[in-house]
Amino acid sequence: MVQLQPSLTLNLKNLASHGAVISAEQQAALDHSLPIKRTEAGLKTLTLWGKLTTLNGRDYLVAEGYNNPIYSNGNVIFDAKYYYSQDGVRWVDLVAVDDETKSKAGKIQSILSGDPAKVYDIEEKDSNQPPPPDEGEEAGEPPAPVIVQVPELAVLKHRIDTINDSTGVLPVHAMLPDAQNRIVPNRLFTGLAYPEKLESYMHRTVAPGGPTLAQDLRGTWSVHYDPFKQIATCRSLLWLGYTFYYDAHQMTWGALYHGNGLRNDDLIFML
Amino acid sequence: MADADAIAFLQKQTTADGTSLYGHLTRVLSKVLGEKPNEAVDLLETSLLVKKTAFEAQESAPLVPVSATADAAKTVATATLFGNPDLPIDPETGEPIESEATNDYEAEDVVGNGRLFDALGVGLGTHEMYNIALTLKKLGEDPKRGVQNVRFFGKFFGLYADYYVFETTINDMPTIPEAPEGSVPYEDNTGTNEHVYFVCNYLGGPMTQLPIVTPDQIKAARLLKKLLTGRLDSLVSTYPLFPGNEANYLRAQIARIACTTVLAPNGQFTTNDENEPEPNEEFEGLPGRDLAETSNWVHKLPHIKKQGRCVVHKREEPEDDENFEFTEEEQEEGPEPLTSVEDDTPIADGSPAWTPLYSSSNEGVKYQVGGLRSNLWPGAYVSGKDKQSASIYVGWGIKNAPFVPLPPPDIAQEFDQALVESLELPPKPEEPEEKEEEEEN
Repeated sequence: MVQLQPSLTLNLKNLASHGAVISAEQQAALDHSLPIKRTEAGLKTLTLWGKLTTLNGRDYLVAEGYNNPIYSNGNVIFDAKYYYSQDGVRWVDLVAVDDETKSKAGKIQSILSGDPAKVYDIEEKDSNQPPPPDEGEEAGEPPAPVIVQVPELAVLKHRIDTINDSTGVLPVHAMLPDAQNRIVPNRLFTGLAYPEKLESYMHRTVAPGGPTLAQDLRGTWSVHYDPFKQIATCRSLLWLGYTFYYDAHQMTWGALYHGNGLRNDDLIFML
Repeated sequence: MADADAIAFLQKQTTADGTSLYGHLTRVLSKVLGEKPNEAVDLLETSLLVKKTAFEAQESAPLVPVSATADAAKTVATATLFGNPDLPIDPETGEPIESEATNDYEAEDVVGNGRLFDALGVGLGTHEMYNIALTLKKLGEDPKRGVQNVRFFGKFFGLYADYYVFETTINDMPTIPEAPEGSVPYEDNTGTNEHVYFVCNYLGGPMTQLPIVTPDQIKAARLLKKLLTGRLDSLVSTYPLFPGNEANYLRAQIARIACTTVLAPNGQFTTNDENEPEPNEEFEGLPGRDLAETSNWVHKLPHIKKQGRCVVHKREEPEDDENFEFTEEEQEEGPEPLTSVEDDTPIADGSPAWTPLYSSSNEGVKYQVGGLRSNLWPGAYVSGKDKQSASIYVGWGIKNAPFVPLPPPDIAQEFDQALVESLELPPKPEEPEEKEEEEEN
């Protein structure tokens, strides 16, 4: 039987040994709170996406929900909704961030505080100031930078988006566009011929048959495969904490992120 | 599209097995007309059925899934950890032969600790911790190893395989070799070498004893940021050069992680007259919720100084040299043993070094577990409740600190003599003397 919906239970079981663990209380709470939120929000699918660690210990659990992904112009558009929760019970919407906020949120390089009301101050050049005088003239004092505020939740959403851009792994041919250009699970998926190869996995946003993980930046993925249990795991080295598993015997797969949401920019020195 | 073009398109052999859409539609139609089902239009599956039942000219799939024995080795090794071992039967008496006496050892309650970590949402999960507990039992009972005390240190992720690390003290502690002349001597089964570490790549698999760690390895490891591969004998290909292979690098990282993140609840240990920690018999434990406060945890292991040793080694002061001065490294004075982690230096961006963790978001819940998460070494956690407490590391062995790669070495001097044309042969190098060779070695 092919997996049609992401399964939280299986994800937690298969990914615990890779450090993707959530607390016993939260696991118990998610059993109830996710179906409630799913019904409230009118979503077909709502599942745990991962956990972003914080400084005050009230980590952000993130849930992702969507209805029907659409296939358009060679891309798969998930149009996913995101919710966060700090106790596993109450789920709060995460609004999309615009491009301007995105570029500002990208400048924050610290671990999230854990206080959803926190606002980060960023210094920016004032674009309304006249340009500095040319050389030769008396160089005046540099214009005072403007302080721009970015809310923590925008930073959180921005981190989720950037992680999704380079992860979101699926086995190839597990999802297909149907006649109405909706992306649906492939009920005839017969498994991967080479689960130990990066060529067998792809990003969920690329078109079926498009580039696989093997075309990603070289060295950004580490694959382990147990040929006896037929379980493969792909770990992202660019986003330490993102783990994807694929069980060839049970035909299930899934992924979780458990980390601080910061990209591993030093990877080039670490291989 | 003209009819001929359309038919040509449909007849194009598209799939790998050489069928075409034209042929497929023909077979679907003949099947529907042959069987004449009542609601033919609803039976879309007919199309699928025709396709799936078509003859495939390829070797038939094996009836029973094939699996190589070698593939099963890891799973079998873990499975044999469970249950009681079958004793061999004496062929003469028919009675089972008594097994050899197993080694007596002391250990922490791994499964119980696993529950503490589970409560906080950290660690490896109950299943894995149970396997670890049995692996630890196997290591402890092994009479050849002679383990006195064993603790599960943690799991290191690698590119090709992971490491499970066990921290032990053994009956026959390794003999520490002399350090080469002129370098800082190695610590003699104290400080950084107080424990012997065993690693395995999979639970139940063969254990390897890690080598001792030397001060220059710790100093070199501080300059690196490197992922582990999962093979102990692989080269650590870095700049600056690391003295040793991956086993040495892993051992150096373990020493660095242990001294920073292995903690004990405040009061579990006291210092004796010689300022060495010893267990406090009167320790009554702390309620779980209090164990999420940094003031209630102390560093269990001694601090590693800049020199790469826990106890600074000072050179002997020569009598005749008045200008002799100790280097900065030799003058370093570290914190007292059992320092509270409250005063730990914040990480690079100013955030606190430790984050509190609670088992429940509701303060009123009874029997809670509390703990800390290290922000300096992501993946290091401590957890505790009443008298029970534990430390664990689950991660990549990477410190959360801004990494500045060391600049390349200075460019070598150009040959500064004038290049003069000469017909004479270059002088032959002199035969090296025996003595010099020995010195170089």
